[in-house]
Amino acid sequence: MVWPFGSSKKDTESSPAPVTSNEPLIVDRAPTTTDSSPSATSSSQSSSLPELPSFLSSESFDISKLHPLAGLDKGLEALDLEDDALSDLPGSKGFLPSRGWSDDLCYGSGTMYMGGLALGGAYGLAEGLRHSPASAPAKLKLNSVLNAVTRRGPYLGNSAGILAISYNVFNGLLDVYRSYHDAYNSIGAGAITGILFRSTKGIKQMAISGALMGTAAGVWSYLTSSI
Amino acid sequence: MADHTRDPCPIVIVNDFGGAFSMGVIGGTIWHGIKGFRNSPSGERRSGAIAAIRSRAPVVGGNFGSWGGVFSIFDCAIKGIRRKEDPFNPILAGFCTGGALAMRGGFKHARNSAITCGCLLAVFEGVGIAMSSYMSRASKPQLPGVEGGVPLGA
Repeated sequence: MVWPFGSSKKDTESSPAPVTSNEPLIVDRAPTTTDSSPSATSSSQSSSLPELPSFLSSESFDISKLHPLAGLDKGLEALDLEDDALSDLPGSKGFLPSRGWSDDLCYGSGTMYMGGLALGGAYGLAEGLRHSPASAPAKLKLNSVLNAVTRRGPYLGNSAGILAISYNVFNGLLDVYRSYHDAYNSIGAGAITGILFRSTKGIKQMAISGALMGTAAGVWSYLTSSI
Repeated sequence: MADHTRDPCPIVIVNDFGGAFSMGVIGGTIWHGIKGFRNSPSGERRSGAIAAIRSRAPVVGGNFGSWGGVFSIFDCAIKGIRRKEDPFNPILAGFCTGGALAMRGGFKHARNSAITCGCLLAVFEGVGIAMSSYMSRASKPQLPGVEGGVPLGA
């Protein structure tokens, strides 16, 4: 490239005057080069003015000459996350990710117990407030509310938790037995759970309960697989 | 150093609660089933067992579950306060759990229960550390060429 102060003819003609005024300019123009002495003393030599070293210019960076496995021609490939490389566990792609039957069992029974506790507690709260007379002092009301909450809450929580445990255990057993994880296992597990739940109350109750729980399990597995 | 087999802290409380509840229900079913079977008259053993299971096993499950849930809450809280993960967290959490669950019985009862739970968890953690150090002894990295060889520079 043509250096503005580099042509020999003009430099030799006007060298006395611009040397004194060029020196600070040249020093300022090359702050990053280490060899500033040749540039200050030789304003008449165009080839020794500082230039970028040859390995920094872009012509020497030839991608094809680099190692072929470096893969630099494909761009930033490491940032491409393919969806199926994230996880290949069967339960990881659904709405509620889980690593297997133990996750299902623990989280399912924990959530159902806490849900049942909350619902039963709310029902007990309403019942306790309803059963205490309106003019009763606050301590009496609190007592009747606490009685109702501790009667209804844990009962519903326990029942819901046990249903969840039974459903998950049978779901896991059916998965192992059929070697396949699909919605029929859920429905079957729900039906067996419902039948067991009412097993002391007679055949008709067992059938109704089994049908209800099977339907609920089917709806649940449809919802979690479609969202 | 972090334990990556357990889920991250707030949601692991549900996991621990559910796991402890399940253990309590299944263990209570077996325990009270056998107890109800044995304590019933000869013609009514099966129904006695079933009645005992239906009335007692959920209570055992609820007790185990609330122990596990409260322990997990304290464990997460202590981990958050100390910002470290080491064996002292479960020991302290066990101490707090024992105290919290027995608080209705008065200070002395709570104190004794807290100390008991803390010692129990210290035993668990000690066994866990011993087992993991035993397992990792087999894969300790060996310095190459030192067996019976002359050290460099000697």
